[in-house]
Amino acid sequence: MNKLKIFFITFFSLDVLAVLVFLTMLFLSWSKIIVLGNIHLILFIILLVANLGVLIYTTIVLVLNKRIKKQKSE
Amino acid sequence: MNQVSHTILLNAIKTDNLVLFSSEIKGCENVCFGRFPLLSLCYLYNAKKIIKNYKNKLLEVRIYKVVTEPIELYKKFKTIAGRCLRLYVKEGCFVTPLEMLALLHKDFEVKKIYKTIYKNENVINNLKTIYYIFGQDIKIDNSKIKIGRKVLSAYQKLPYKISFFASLGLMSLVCVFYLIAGFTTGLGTNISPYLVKSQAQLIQALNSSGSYVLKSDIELNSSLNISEFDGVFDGGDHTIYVKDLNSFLVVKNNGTIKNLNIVYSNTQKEISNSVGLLAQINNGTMNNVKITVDSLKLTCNKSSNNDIYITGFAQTNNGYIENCSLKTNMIVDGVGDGECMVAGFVGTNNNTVTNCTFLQESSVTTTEADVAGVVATNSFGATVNGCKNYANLCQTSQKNGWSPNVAGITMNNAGTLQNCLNKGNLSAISTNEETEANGYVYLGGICATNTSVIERCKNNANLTATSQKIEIYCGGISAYSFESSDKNNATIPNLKNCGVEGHISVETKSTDAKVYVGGIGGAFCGYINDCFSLASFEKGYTKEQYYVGTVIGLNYSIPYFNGLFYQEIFYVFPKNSFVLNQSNVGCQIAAVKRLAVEGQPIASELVYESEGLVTVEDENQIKQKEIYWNE
Repeated sequence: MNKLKIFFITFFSLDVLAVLVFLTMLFLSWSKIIVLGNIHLILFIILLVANLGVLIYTTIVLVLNKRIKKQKSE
Repeated sequence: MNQVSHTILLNAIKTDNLVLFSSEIKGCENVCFGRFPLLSLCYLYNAKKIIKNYKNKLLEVRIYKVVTEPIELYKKFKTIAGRCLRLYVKEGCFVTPLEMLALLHKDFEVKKIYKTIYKNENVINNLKTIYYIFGQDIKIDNSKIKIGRKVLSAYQKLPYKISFFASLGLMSLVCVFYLIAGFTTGLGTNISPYLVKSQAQLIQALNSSGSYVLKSDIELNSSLNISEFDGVFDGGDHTIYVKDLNSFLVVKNNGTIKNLNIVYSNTQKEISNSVGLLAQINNGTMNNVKITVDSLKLTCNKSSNNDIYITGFAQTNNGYIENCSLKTNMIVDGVGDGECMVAGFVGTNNNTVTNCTFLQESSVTTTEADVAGVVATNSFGATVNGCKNYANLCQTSQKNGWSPNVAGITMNNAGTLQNCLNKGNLSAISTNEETEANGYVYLGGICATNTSVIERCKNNANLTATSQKIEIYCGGISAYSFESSDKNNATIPNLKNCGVEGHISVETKSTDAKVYVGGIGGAFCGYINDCFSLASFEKGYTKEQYYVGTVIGLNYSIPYFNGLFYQEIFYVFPKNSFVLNQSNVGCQIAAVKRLAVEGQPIASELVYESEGLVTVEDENQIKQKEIYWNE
């Protein structure tokens, strides 16, 4: 569990940082200071895939746990 | 082995000190600190290095030599054993490595070593009890153990729940902002281009390299002055209204400009440098751009060291111009000594111009400024394909030494013209009355001068040329064709499946001013394959000044052939071509000029006889041929 906690803390620290960079780039482009290009698109895809991965993993763990709990209660 | 050595061994395990452990382990493999064998202690203190090196050796130990159990071991074990501690309170109990792994929740390791490790009934019973207390099912089948998943407590589920919602939140945040940006301002990518709605945004867009789409019509109050554009600009079929013609909208286009309408206000201006309605240099692509100027009147101050181009789309095209159109009524007055050229689309074409149209109800009228409907100069290797000219083009010249050039598609062709059509009436008029008048009038339905390939092009309009004193070269396809003398790019004029319909009217006031007129070419040498001419002529052949042939006005001959002198061997190679006979003309080639002999052309009055070039009496005979086409 400790390792899991360390993973989640590291992951979300990087995740939040990447989201902040992503949003900053968006605001800069809205202000016409920079032009968004492929880097922004790649960052978007990385964020999407990484978060989706965590989302799927946690969903599987929680659903399985619920199922085992149900089986035990039966 | 004494108590001190045991303490050192225990400390080595606690600190995962492999060197110390190795030095002390000899003869002590079976030592057991109370209830804890050495390997169990290694697992308890997570001594990875020692486990890695001594695991197999320590697993073989079956009989233990029990020594005193330090109290600290009990304290540490108590924290991890929890309710399982009751299994190990009896005297003579051992916490075997397998049980220790189970207590540490290292289920994967348990499965891994279960097969190889020694275990008795007591160990198996303890394992069952441990996993029962942990709420996990186990199935033991001979040498295999199956361990079910542990049911997570509410506290253990918390990190998963937090992670689930955090990921969902961050992902939603990213997606929502991405969508908002995409719909409001665009992202500058090909999938989501920036949305341009104002003049300021347009200037910013054209000064950068992203992707842009115009979302509303824009009126430009000031000059754009874009030096270089590298992005993609989609006009979205909207219109940019330009008040002032000032040099070029974009100096250099390296990107793509498409689906755009540009409307100029009526302009009257004096210029001394080249001007264009869109770009000076096009290295990229222009596609589906429509330019409209109701009335454009320019006075062109020509200087001898500066050629002036007036063009619609690009002064120099190194890229692609496709599906564009131009509608304008332009008047250009050339003043001064230099060159001035007006072309509907491109000044010098070095790459490709495709499917461009100079629209109906357009016209270009100039004085001492050469005019071409599409391209001024089509370079070697360049292509003009599928272009049409519907504009009436006219040039008047009075100046001595000036040679007025007018052509339906291109002024000078050294590249390839394909599938082009001229339907605009063309006229070139010289009123030069100087005693020592010099210069030539060049008037061609497709091009003025040609050294290369013209394929499936047609002139379907009337040509009119008038001169007081200077010679006229006028042809339905080309005014003047000759072989290229350029050693690297040597070419011979080659016409393939070209056609001419319409009336050719040429007039000269002086007997000194010869006129060379042909249905295909004014002066011509080279190949004529699968071509036809139904052109009619105002003037017929006369010995004095009108050299009018149904095919060629003036042809070059080769006087020497195989070392022998011949009077006339025509330097023209026709094949499967047909021409309509005209009663007032009477000959296919009106005059010949020997290449190696100086002097005036020889009037031929010859009906050129060749299987490749047939004169017919009825135009239906031509229209029924496979080579005939009309659009």
